Amino acid sequence: MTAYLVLAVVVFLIFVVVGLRFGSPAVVSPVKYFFMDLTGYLQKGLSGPPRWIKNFWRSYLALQEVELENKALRKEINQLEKEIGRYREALIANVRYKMLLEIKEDAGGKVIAANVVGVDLAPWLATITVDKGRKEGIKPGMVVMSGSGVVGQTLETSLHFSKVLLLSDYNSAIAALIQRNRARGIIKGAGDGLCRLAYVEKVVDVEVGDRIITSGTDGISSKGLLIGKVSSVTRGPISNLFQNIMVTPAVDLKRIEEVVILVKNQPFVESH
Amino acid sequence: MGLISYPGQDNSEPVKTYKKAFLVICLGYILLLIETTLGLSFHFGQIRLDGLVPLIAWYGIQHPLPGGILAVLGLGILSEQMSAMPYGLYILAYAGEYLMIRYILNQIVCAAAWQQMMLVSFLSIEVIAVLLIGSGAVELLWPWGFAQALLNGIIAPFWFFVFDKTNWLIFSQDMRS
Repeated sequence: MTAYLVLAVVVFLIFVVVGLRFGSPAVVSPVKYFFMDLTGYLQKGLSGPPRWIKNFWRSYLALQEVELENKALRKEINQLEKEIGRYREALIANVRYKMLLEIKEDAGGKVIAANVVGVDLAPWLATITVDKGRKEGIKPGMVVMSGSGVVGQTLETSLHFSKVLLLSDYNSAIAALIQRNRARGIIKGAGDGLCRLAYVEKVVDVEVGDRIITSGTDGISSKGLLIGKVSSVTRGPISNLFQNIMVTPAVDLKRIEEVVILVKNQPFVESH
Repeated sequence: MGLISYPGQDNSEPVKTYKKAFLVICLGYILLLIETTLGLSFHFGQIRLDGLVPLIAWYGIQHPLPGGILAVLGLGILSEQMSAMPYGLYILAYAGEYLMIRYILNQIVCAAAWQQMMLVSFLSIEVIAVLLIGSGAVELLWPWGFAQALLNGIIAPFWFFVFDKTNWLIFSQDMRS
């Protein structure tokens, strides 16, 4: 009898926890975000030592190559001095261009750099935790980039940490277009660090190596950010309306260590 | 052999039961932190080295419902905080695993390594099926889900050994007294 009673309490507890999170997220949010911060700090502390070891090893390997590089660099210096004269003129022009670019950046909002401190517990879900949160102005639905391309978008944020939904996650979808012919589609996650460009009609000419960029029509990202390149195209059976286009992201989504978040004022996704 | 996990080994002292429940939650939290921080180092395709399913199996063998299920629910809630999985799935999957092991407790022997492997692989199927189906990634059940269950089974004796030793280190003083 006691066992049935306990079972009933357990089932009730499950319904209460799940119900509260769906029905009244505001009730559990403070606890959830406090926990997210606490875990974030612990993850940040744990992710430090492996990074130090990796950096130390890289430095050691680099020293071995320094001597050889020194000799080669001395030769290069002579050649470069000749080129400096020509580049000086280019530099003056560059300063002007940079000023224009800064104006453009100011109009688009600020950019925040963050370190990756954790990954998702489930291997088939592609989310990461980064060490910047609401305190730095980050909200759900902001574009996250790394190096040369888009990485994903922020999913939820606590005071000091944020979860980022990567492009390769099955739940991720971003409006995109093929840069060469301006054909539109949706970049969806395909798991294992890959994406696919969905809803591109068979009449559209798509080639391996075509660059895929954001179209800016989804309200998440601005137009023209690099997503990746087409890695394979198959048309499939005649009954298929669309092509099957696989895209390799510009950034290796399995090895991200640092990201930048494009901060904008209006969140696209509401936090739970 | 030499492991101290036996079916039906229930601790009836309430204080020790709750102390153990707390220990399991702490152990689980440490495992979760390690798995999410160094996670990618332990990922192979869509599978990873997981200590949570063996932990619940180990715990389920020793602890009956009243105190036992609370720790399992705690582990489920902790797991949810570290994943973008739909709400309630981890709680459901882990509670299912715990209740299943309590249900079959009198029909199993779990002292030898191969028996632990079989048991954890079997229980893993339930956990993985709930998580994959619930998160809409059912196509990963074959082969990745089964590969994950197999991996969980293979490493189960190691985890049982670690949990036994940790349990002994913390509670040996209590046992003597």
